[in-house]
This record gives sequence, structure tokens and C-alpha cells, in this order.
Amino acid sequence: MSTDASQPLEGGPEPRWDLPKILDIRIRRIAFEPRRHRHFASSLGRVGEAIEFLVTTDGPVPARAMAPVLFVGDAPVFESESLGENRLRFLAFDVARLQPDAPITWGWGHARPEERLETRFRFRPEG
Amino acid sequence: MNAKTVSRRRLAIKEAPERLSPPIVVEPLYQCATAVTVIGFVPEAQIDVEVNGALVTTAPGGFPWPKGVTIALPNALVAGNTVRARQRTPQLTSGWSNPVGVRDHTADYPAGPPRPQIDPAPVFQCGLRTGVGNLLTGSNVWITADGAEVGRVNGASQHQGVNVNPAYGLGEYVRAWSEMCKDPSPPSVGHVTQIPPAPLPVLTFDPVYEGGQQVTVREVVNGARVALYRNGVLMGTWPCWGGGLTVSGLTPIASGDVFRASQAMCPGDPPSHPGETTALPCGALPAPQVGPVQAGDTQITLTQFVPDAAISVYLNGMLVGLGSGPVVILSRAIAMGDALYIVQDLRGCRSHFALEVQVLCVDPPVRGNPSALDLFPVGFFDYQSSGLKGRVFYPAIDDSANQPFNERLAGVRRAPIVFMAHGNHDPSDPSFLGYDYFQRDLAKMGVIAVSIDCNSLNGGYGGVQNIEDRADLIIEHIAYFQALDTTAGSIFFGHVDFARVGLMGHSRGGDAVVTVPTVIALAGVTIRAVLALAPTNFRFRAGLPTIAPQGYAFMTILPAGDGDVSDNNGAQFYDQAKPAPFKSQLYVHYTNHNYFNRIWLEDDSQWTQPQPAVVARWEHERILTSYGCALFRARLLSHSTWQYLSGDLLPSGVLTQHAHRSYEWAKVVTVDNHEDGNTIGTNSRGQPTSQLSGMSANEYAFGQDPAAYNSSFYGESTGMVIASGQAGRIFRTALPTPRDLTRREVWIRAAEVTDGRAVIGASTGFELGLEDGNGFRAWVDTDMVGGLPRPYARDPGRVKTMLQTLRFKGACFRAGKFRIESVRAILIRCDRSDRHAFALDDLQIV
Repeated sequence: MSTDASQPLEGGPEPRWDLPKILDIRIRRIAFEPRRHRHFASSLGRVGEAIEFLVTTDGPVPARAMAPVLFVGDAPVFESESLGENRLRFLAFDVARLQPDAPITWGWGHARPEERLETRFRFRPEG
Repeated sequence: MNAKTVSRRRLAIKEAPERLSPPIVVEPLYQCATAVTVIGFVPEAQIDVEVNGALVTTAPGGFPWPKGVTIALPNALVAGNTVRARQRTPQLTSGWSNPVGVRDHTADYPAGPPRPQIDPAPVFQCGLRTGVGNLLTGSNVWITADGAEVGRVNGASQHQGVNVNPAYGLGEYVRAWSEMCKDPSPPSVGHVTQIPPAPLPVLTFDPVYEGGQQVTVREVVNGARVALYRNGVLMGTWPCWGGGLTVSGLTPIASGDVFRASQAMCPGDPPSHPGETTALPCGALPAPQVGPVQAGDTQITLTQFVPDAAISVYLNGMLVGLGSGPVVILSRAIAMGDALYIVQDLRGCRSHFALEVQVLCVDPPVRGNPSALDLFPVGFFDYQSSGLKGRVFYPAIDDSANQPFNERLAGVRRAPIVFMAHGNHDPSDPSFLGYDYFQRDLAKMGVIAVSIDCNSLNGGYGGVQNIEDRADLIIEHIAYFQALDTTAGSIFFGHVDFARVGLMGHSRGGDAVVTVPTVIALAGVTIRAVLALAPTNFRFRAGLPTIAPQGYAFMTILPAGDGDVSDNNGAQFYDQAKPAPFKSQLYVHYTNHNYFNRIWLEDDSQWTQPQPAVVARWEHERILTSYGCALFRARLLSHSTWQYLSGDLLPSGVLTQHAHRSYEWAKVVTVDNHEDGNTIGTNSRGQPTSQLSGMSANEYAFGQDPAAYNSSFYGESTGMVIASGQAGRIFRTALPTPRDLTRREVWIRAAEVTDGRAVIGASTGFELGLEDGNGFRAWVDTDMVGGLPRPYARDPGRVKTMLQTLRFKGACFRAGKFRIESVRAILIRCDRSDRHAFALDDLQIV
């Protein structure tokens, strides 16, 4: 019987979850009403008011379990939705935690401070 | 398991056998069976079979391996009969086996006998014999090729070989069928005969020993003819279902005897080259090997043994069992710390070696697999309606798409249903197709399994609203199937039991299925079990309270190497869940986030390097379907498969050594869960605790919380940390009244505390003690109950202190004057010198 000796096969491919670069952020205060569900009312129904961050990136955000998060200083902004190609809307409900002129960074939901990506934007709501 | 091979000559054991173990009547037995199968007897014993106390037949047992002996009965069995067996040799007669009650098979299989399995598959042109498994003992089994019967056995064993005549042709459609009491099973999966491999593999032999009377050859092609030669003389030609073939009844083998064997399939095609082996001398006969042995066991299971060997089991020098593999019944229960010696002897050879086993307190047996239940053919179809899309698998009248619902099952009762929701992934990938293996396993046992396409909600964004959207979508799919259930002409018309609903969600889908029970308002829907696989917890991240699963059995599977949900947020749900009637957590080393879904190809653990290599994708799948089926069978089909979740049993074929369990029942005595806000000085029973001999323990948040002991905790609970210190420090927690723990267990969740950056030093542990009313104490070490696992050595900063449930049987606590009948305190003693800190929680009496 012949005997082979080979090298182990590569594991699965590594995911590519690098975030794109943020090109623009527009910030404003809005009246918030959660999306209507067919079968129940959202737990966010009592929020009423939010800060909206309209973000433009230079590429798509990868789809994975974790979501992209904006950090205003150290205050995370978790809620996001797609507005089309390379455009996202982030919503901050705990407005009091957002410090004026704080630098905005971003990263994945569980990113440690050193893992966050810098942007050239600061928290300066319009109007 | 603590086991090693020792020299037999040094043992102080009485070698003259005085008793035989009772053999084992293979269960279950059903009415109409015309035969019973008996195993576990010594080679060439006579087997007596008794029905309702009357000896009905005696038969030569022959050789017990590999199939025992299936003995024809003079009359078919009737429900209510009891059957026993015993074995006799010229010198000894065993006691009778435990009586086995005969049942009506429709009590266990109201929708008919389980479907046979052609095992091993595939089937080949010119095959002469086919193995059929998943049979009821005593049933009738037959095989058809292109619809014509080509082989039959009446009064079959559970795994029966059926000779085929004429041999299979090429391209024939082969199925196995069975009946019990004229009640037909569904047909097996159909197999089309293939061209046999060419050249045929060379046969190999299991080691053959002087004094033996059996030879086992391997690498047999399914259905082949095997010719066996001994010292050049043809012993015969046997048909074989494939894999291995054991030839029995040889005259005792001499050292140096040469055995050769070859196999052939079609006439005119060349046989295989011969395989050959030489019989080894008696001195080479090894000790047998056994499966887990734990306190209270009354039998041992052998994992490696010479098939025609008599197995003797000695306990503290006394013979307590004499039989054969794979199971030997013992004459008394064994206790923690007992020393077992196990030897195997052939007719002409006494082994020079013995296996020494130190009995542990808890070392659960490997028994079956909860995903293996195979009752029905499986149909499936894709659906798409009003923006809803998914794939459903269901018990059908035959295998393939769009088959009608199984009418036998429909005639008995409605079928439970499980909805599965994948998580966030590239929306161009059909992620909902990734759990087909799990869906099929559920469907073949009678559970409708729906996988929902959630891609409309997938993309590079997220948040609480996205999770709520997913929950809403899941509810919409439940409503859709409610509509199918009431729509004449639908495959599911009148067939779905919405009072038995299960949910499984992966990743964000796991977050969503935990949300669904809190918001669903559909009439007639009762959710009984929820499995959150590597779930996110977006509410926690958004500063909202974590949902506390309640009103159903909750289970979470946490991949320790998860490179996506690297915080293992499912631990938060487990900690918050209220057992109903239980909750379960599996923290599984060497698994990642993605490999549970067949569509998700990336190894996400590489995103958070350095990490150990994860196990293969199919090992992930076995973990999900084995433990997932255990959950859903327990709650949707009322099977006792919760034992796989509690740790009473281990599923076969699963990397259970990597699965670290937490489990909690409702309605048990919680001595301390540290949730009472009454400081470390008082337990949950309102009783005082004390810290002795340098003990330093306090209560801390067990989560990503500023009040946590350190950053290595990822659940959402309060627990107790024993700080690093010298050996001998003791924590004592009092019970309100003395309790008899003879038949109880003490459970505690425990972990070695890591600093979150690295796994340091060697493994550790502690002792759990009980103190009786007179102050006498008895101790059991964690090493006697499975040990304290090391933290999972992943990327620095994400090494976790992840607790698991340790179970200490009351019967294991024995020492001097200590009385287990009046326990008044539970103790933790840190007896190691390694100065590790420990995290402890949920001290309970079960």
C-alpha cells in the first residue's frame, strides 16, 4: 500500500469586515417615530426625539452580526439603517450623552476604543 | 475517566469465577415479535428464555459479538408479557436478567413502526447481502429491488442482515421495508445500485489472538462475498452487508496461524488482492477498554474488546461481573473511589493485563444521539407569498419535494412546528438554506421545520429596530403557516399543532427569537422552546434591559471561538432566563460563529486572531442538530432527551469534550444565587455564610459591567468570586434545616477566573464539601465530577470567565462518621496551591 504525506488544507476564508471610510456626516435633531410592525408596537415607541446622523461612505458596510456603530466621544450610537448605496442613517436616542463638538469615530458594535476608526467629523448638529 | 492498564499478576483478585452475570434482553420488546435478541453472555453459553415466568425455549448462544443471538420464540409475544433470559455454562448458571415488559408498538410508535435504514449504504451491483437498521426487534423485514422482493427475514434483530437473491443488478432501485403486527413501516430511503469499486479494497484484519475463535475482517464492500483462508485452507465464503465481517466458531486459534481473506463482487470481475494477518501469541492479548464509569452504575460498557472474549469485572478484588462485550451487568452498584479491574479471556488464553478504573462521582455515559430518531420520510418545498419566503421540511409519505403530508402521522395527531431564522449576512446569499441538515433531522422525527428567508432585513446596518423587524417577520411566517393549516388543499391543512411551537435563531436571528415570545399576540400559538444560537443582544448594547426568557425552555449555544458575536451575548440571555421547566447553555470550545450555517463560508474566528483552529464544519453541525433535537424533542415531543442537556447522558458522535454545559431546573432548592442583595454574608435561604482559613470571597456583577470583578465576565448575573489565596481556605454556607441528600445532587456553576488576557498556569479545581448536624464533613473534588475546564485561550482581551454547571451526587460524600441524611451546610474548600481565583454561582440542591 502506498503512503501519502500531504499538507493540511486551508481553513475557511477569512471574513472581510473592514469598514469603509466615512466621507460625510450630516447631523440634525428630528422627531422620531419607530417603524410600524405588523404584529406589535416597537419598544422604541416612547422615544419621541432623536439625533439623526446621515453618513456617506466610500464603500459598502459589510453585513455581519455586529452592526456599525458611531461613537460621539465615548457615547455609542447603535441604531442604524440603510438609505441606499453607501448611505446610512444612524439614530441616537439618548441625546443627553452626546457632547457638543466631541470627535466622531466608528467601529463595530463591540469595538474597543483602540479598534475604532477616526473620522474628520465632530458632533455639531445643524441648526 | 481515570483508567490505566496494569499487570494482572499483581492483582489480589480471586480468579475462580463463581457467578455469571445475567445476559441482557435487548429492549424494547413489542407485541407480535416472534424472536428476542440476547447479548452480553459468555461465548457458547446456553441461553434460557422465560416468558411470564415459564421457560419457553433454550438455545445455544454461540458467540455474543457482533449481534448477540436472536432466538425464535414458540409463540409471538403479547403486550403485557414479561421476558427474561439467563445464561448457562457447564459450570455456572447466571441469575435471570431484569424482566422486560412487552408493549404494543403503537404505544411508542402511534404512526407506525420507524422507517428502516439501509445500513451501510450504498448498495452495489452484484451485492448479495444488505444490512437494515432502525428495526423493531422481532419485526419482519424485506428488501425490494425495482419493486420486486429479493430478500426477507421474519423475526429480525434491530440491525438485520438480509441475503439478496438474485444479486442486485445495476441501476436498480432498492428499498427496505418492515412490519410489526401487520403494521407497515414507511419504506427506507431508496438507493440506486452502483457499480462496485474497482479494484476492490484489500481486506484488513482486527488483531487475532491465540486461543480465540473469531476473526473479523474490515474494508468489506457492501454486499461482497468474502473468502477466508486459514493456513492456506479455505474456511468458507460469506456474504457481508459491508464494513466488517466477523466469522465465528473456529477451532481455537494457534499463535502463528495465518489468515488470508479476499472479497469479490460480480462474477468475471477480479477479486481483491488478499489481506493477511498472523495470529498473535496469548501474551499480546491486551486489556479491554471501557466507556465512562460513574458512581451508581450497575453495568459497564466496553469500547474495545476482543469479540469472543469473556469479560470479567472485579470490584475491590471480588468478581462482580462475568459476561461479554459490549455490556456486562454487575452484581452491585459501584461507588466513587472504587477500583475496578477488568480483564478479557479467550477460551485458550488468559490475558496478562487488566484495565484498572478508578470510579468517578460523575462521568456520564455516551448513549445514542437525540438527532438519530428516524420515523418518517421527509418532504420539502420552497414557499413564496406576499413577500414571505422560506423552505419547509416535514414528515411526508415519501422523500422528495412537494410530497403529501404523512397520513399515518396526520391520523394520530397534529405535528409540532419549529421556525428557524438566520442572522445578518450578505443578502445575496440564500442564508435560509443553511440549516437544511437540522430541518431534515427534525422532520424525520415528526416535526415540521421552517427556515425563514430574512434577507430583506440583511445588510450593513443594525440595531434594536432591525431585531424587532426580524421578530415581526418571524411572527408573520407563523401566521402564514396558521393560514396554511386552515386552507383546504394545502399540504399542511389541519396538520399543524400551534400549541407546540419551537423557535431557533442564529446570530441576530437568535436575538429575534428571544424577542418573539415577548411580543407575539397570535391566537392559539404556544412557544415551548427557544434555541438562540450565537445570538446578539442589541437591546443590551442600546442600554435597554436584556430580555429575560420565561415561559418556555430556553437554550443557547455559545461558540467560544466566535469572531463575530465575540462577546457571546447568549450568556446574558441564559443568566436572565427563568427555567420553564429548564434552561440550558452550551459553551463550545473550538467552534466559530458561521459554521453552523452551510451557506456562511468564512471562518470568522480568524477575524479575532490569535485563536485556536476551530473544528470542522460538520462537527459544528453535529453539535447544533444533536443538542437542538434534544431540546425540541424534550419540549415538543415529550421525550426524555433533556438528559443530554442536563449532562446525564452524552450524545454519541459529538465532540462533547468541548461542550461545557450550564443547566438549571425550575423548582429546585437554590441555596445561593447571589441575586438577593443581602451581601456575601447571607445566602438565598437567609442563612449565614462564613469564610475560614484565609478565605476571601465577595459578590460581584458577572457581566460587562463596571461592578464586575474584572472584564472577563460576559453574562448578566451576580455571583461570587473567591480571590486568589493559599490552599485550605474554606467558604461555608448554611442550610436552614438539616437535609437528607442521599438521593440528591448538589449543583454549582463554577469557573476558573481569568484576567481576560491569557490562560495562565495549569488546570485547577476545588473541593465541595457537606457538613452534617454533628459537624462531620465529607468532600468531593471537582476532578471527580468532570473537572473545571480551562478558559478558552482566544485573542487577548476576550478570554472569558465562563461558568459551567458541576454536579455532585449526594451518594459520593462518604467519610467516617459523616451522615448524608442530615446535611446542614455546604462548603467550598480551595485545596490547591496554585492560587487560582474561582467564580461561583447558582448553588442548588437538585
